[in-house]
Amino acid sequence: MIEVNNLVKSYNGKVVLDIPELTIPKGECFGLVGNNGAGKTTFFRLVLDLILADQGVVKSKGLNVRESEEWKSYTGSFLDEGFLIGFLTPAEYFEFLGKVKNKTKPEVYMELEKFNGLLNGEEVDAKKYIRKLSRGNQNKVGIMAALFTRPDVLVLDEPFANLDPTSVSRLIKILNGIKKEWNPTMLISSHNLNHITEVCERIDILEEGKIIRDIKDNPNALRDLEDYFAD
Amino acid sequence: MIKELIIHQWKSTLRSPNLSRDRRSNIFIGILIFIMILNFFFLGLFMNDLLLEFYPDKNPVTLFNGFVVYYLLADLFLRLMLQAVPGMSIQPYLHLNINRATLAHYLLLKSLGSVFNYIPFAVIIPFALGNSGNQSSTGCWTLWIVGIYLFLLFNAYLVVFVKRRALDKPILEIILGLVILALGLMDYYGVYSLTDSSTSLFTNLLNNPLFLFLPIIMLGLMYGVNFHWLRRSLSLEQVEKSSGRERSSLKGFDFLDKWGEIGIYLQLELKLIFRNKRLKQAIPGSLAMLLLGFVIYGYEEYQNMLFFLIYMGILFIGMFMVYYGQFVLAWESHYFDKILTEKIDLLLYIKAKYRIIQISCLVFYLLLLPFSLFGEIIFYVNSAVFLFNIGINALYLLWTGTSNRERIDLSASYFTWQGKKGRQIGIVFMLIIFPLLVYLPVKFIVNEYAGIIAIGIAGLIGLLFSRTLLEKITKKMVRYKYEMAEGFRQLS
Repeated sequence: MIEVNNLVKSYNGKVVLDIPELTIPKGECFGLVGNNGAGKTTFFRLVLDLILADQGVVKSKGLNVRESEEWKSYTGSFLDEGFLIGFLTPAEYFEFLGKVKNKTKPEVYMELEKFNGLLNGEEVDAKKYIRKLSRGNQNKVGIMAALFTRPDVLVLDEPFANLDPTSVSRLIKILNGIKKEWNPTMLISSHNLNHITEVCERIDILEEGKIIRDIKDNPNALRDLEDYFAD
Repeated sequence: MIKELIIHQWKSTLRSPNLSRDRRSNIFIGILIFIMILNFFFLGLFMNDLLLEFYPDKNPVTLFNGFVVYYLLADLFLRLMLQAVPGMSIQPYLHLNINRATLAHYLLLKSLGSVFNYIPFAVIIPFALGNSGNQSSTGCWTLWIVGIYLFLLFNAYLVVFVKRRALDKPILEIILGLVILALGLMDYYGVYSLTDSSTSLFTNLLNNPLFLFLPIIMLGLMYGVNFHWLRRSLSLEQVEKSSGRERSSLKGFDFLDKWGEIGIYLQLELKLIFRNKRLKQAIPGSLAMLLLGFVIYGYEEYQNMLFFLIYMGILFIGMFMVYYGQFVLAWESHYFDKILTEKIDLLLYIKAKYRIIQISCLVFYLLLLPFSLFGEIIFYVNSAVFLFNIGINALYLLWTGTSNRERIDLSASYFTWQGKKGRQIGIVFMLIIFPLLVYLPVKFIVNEYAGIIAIGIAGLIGLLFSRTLLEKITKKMVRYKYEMAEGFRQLS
């Protein structure tokens, strides 16, 4: 689904991301962990064609994301508050995204129903602008926006951050649920090793821009990760 | 304690990123402001001669005094539209062991810093200087200036009070607006002469120091009213309210859904404009500028200066266009990443912006139509300039928009310098240069009127090719999207 070839990105001469090769097959949940500054967000931005790589390509369904815009029609993403339109209410925001993806209002609300656990209908309808919501609720809006169009590819940067404990467990349930429902390819980063191991069967560790460990289908993944980060 | 708070205020101003970031543009803007002040200064200094020229048989000081109340009312109206209510800044102090009275005084003192309180000085001080010694002594003129200043402060506190209360009772703002309007209408229909009361009040102020007590008492009462209310109701809730009454509005634009994909982007753009202080205030701000039309179109001398009429026409019709257009594509810097990752037809997205500019120009063109009564030529010039604005200038602004790289703070006020650089001033300058480039050659080869027609035709040609040009702009945006997104992500 996602293929990365010889991808290099540097800022002011310092290489912040260097991935010679990476393939994320269809339907895989790819977890990315690493300390601050390891290059997680940079990698996601490259996948979403938001920044220009120094060299190399990212391909989605075989097409270079730089050259084809096809990926936009089947990719849902939420990286940071730069993905939220602060002066809209959550309902207007979802409706806007629905319209862009050619979905009618009833379709939008039907899909949103499934993510009731994050924000319920009342909260979606509240006449409060997104910029006035708490950090946690803003995150929920962003995550729901990425999910509700049933994307084939889902990119979430630290989705568990800022969420209350109940929402975290609900989000984990939702992410595991959609695997069964339409099995999207997921790219998720997190600082919380527990959460990420509960969702993803494959977890890569990023350090100073390089993937230094690739853990797949390992029941002891959590232990491995804890050992690695234990300093 | 209050001194401490004021020092904090100073630090926050001095350390604000807008002030410290770009020294060169600050110097440039500083020079511009200085030139403007200098202009006003000479206007004030030569006010006597100017007034004598128009009304040779009247006393210029009396005439000027007759005008002061009009200024004060206009000032009140503008403040009602634009003056900010200080609020947020006390949030970090609310939980500390600081007297509520101190905080209330501090909040009220902050209103002294409003720029509205000081603009008139640029005119009245030189005017007083030019006249001192003529009929009244320097001391009298000083008291006269102090008197006007006190009236301005009264305005400031009246507006702050009404705005604070209006958070609960929005009707108050409307009532104050209506009172101002009623005074204006009564004056216009001769029921009550503002000129006469203004003349007698300010002439008395000049001659009899006792009259200074009037503004002192008015100001004192207004301050007291403000203070008592603030001390009683100062709370976090109040602070949050003053940082923005937020209701979702604009349900009325749902009909745009029927316009297909461009309708979606038009709605988003309208919400962007009407729900963010900086752009929302630009609407009354731009409309208020139209009042200048009475000054400019009112004098027949100007009607023979086509050159000047073109210049004013571009600015008047483009008043909103210029404000919105200089940061076009940067207004959405907060969510630019989302725009790039969604399957959005960028050509339509930019076209929606083009439509917004065109509509704003049309509205301002229509509002300017009544000024044609001052002279037919105004109609012809404005029509030509209108076509030029929507056919060429609008597209030029969109083209330059793809070179915007700076994050725009939408929560700033209309008057902010945030994001403004020499570049923006250069762009606005070009908007005036373009039509003159068309006009001047034709004027010298044929005549002035052909020059005006040429401006209109140039605009029509622009409209004819607008689709091709919009495609070019879209291509440029796609090419530079990484640089734009990178710049927009940088928090200032």
